[in-house]
Amino acid sequence: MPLRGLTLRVDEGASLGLVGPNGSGKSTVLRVLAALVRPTAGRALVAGFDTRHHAAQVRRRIGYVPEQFGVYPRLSIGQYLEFFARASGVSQWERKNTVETMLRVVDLFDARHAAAEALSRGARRRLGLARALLHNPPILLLDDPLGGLDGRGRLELVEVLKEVRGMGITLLVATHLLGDLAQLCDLVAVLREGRLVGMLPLAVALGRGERGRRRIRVELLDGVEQAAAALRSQSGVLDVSEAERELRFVYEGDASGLADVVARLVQGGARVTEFGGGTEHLDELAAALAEGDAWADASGPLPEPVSA
Amino acid sequence: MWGAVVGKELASRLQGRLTYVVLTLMVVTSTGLVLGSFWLIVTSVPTLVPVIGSSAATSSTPTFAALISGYRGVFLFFVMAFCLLSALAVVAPAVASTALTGEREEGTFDSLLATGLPARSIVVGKLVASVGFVLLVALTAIPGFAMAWMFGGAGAVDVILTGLLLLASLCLFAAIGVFCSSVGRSSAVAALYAYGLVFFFGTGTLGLYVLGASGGMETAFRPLLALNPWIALLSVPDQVSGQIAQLLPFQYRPLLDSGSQQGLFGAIRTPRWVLTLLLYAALTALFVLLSSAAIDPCHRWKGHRSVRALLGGDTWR
Repeated sequence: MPLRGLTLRVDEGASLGLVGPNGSGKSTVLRVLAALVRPTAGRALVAGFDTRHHAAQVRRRIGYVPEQFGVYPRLSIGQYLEFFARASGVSQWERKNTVETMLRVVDLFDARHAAAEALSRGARRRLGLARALLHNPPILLLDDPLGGLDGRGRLELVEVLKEVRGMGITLLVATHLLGDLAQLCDLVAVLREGRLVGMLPLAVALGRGERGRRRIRVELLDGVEQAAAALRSQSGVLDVSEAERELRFVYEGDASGLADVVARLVQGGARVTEFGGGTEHLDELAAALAEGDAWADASGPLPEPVSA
Repeated sequence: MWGAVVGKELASRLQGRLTYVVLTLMVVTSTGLVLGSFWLIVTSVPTLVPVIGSSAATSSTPTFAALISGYRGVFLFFVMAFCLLSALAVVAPAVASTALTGEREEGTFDSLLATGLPARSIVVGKLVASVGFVLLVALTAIPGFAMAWMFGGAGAVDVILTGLLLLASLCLFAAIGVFCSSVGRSSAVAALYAYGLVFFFGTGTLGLYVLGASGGMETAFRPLLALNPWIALLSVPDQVSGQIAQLLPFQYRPLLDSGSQQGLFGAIRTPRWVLTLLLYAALTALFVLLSSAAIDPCHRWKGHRSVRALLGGDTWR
């Protein structure tokens, strides 16, 4: 997907999610930044280096995990990382320790003698992440890191990514699922047809801003209808829907007001077994953001596209 | 920097059973080749020794049988060298043409390039690994060469020059394979391109020379012969090749005649194998540079539209 008039700046240590439907140019942005695609016009600077003229310096400073990547069929996991550590310029003295550390970080140390080819999809993603981090890059580019993973695989990888996030690495994550980013990113850039539609804090995108709306999901042991009726009578509660032992609603207001709503619900006799943000709605929100009709709903006025 | 790629390539290639099957087959083939050549050269051709006092008429031009009879050891050695060169021409492009397309087909290329390893190091690593692997296979022919060498005739200089020419040819064939792998869409297509180019070096140059010589332009087409590894190999035992040349029609004699050793560098007349070695070294380096430019989307040469058109666009897919 060609990029058109895209201006984007990510500060050191920030974590940015690139969101948009398939074909919106997310992967192309990452490939340009990894100096794997030469921009035909414009320029991309990574840590001050132009990707066209200083590709080697750029690549030394990034860790890149593509959406699809293979492994060498005849190498074990340990040999695979040893090779990439050597290729990434990790010195002979540090190589063994670095590989071992990364294997432990991604929880593959015990499987280090297994064939890399035999890994499950989730374990392979973790191996890719370990490979990208071997040379301790200050910037990490992840292309749809959680795509195609089952629930357990997602949870394991998110845990690892949260650990990586804590290392102060600048993170760019491309995804078409906004829910993936909830625990990883501060900012969201929404792309559509190779253009930047807008950029906003993730909390605002998720409706957790001060004035924002948030989607809530409540699981109940019983009494769904009564609880729904009680909710509808409370101020700030919108769009209540019922399902078997589950209630969903939109709450408009601040955190204190929401706490009061929940307290009244419980005092009214509702037996709540689970309560949380409706993250499954985030993907719908991402699609709506990309279509451009959800900005007001998410954050009030449409934010200015970033052009720094 | 390229050591990492060499290590990985050799580790991958040597872990399969197929490698050892190929090595065994090579030993068996080269031994069979020596025995076959021995049968053809030593037992099938009668020994022709001039008898003192014989009244039989002698010709000033020796026959081919007489030449073989007189230089059995040399013929045996160079038949082996010819066969090994032919084997290299078949094996090296096949091995090298998977070098980069294989990375692409396995989905590992982006990760490899993103390590920051310069494209040239990747290409050199792939080339050295391909040459190393094929060399390992070729070394299995050493017992065969030793048997041929025992017949005498081929001197130490001949052996060294033959080894150098075989190595230079191997490097060129592998570099062609790597280059085709850098511009080909798949390993099969790359192998096809590579065989086409190697075929040109082996047969095309000779065919063009013969056509040129037939058309009375022998001198103009003669430099092409320096590109032909088989002709260069024939120029090593210059005494024998000179005598074989006498058996050829007059206009084709420069093909093998030691007197035809050409002077591409003006007045300095150089043995053909010297030119071949120099040309092959230069061509190998050229193919490495072109391959490096082809696989790196941000290579400085890609700033030129013509280079992008020739070697691929802004991305290597």
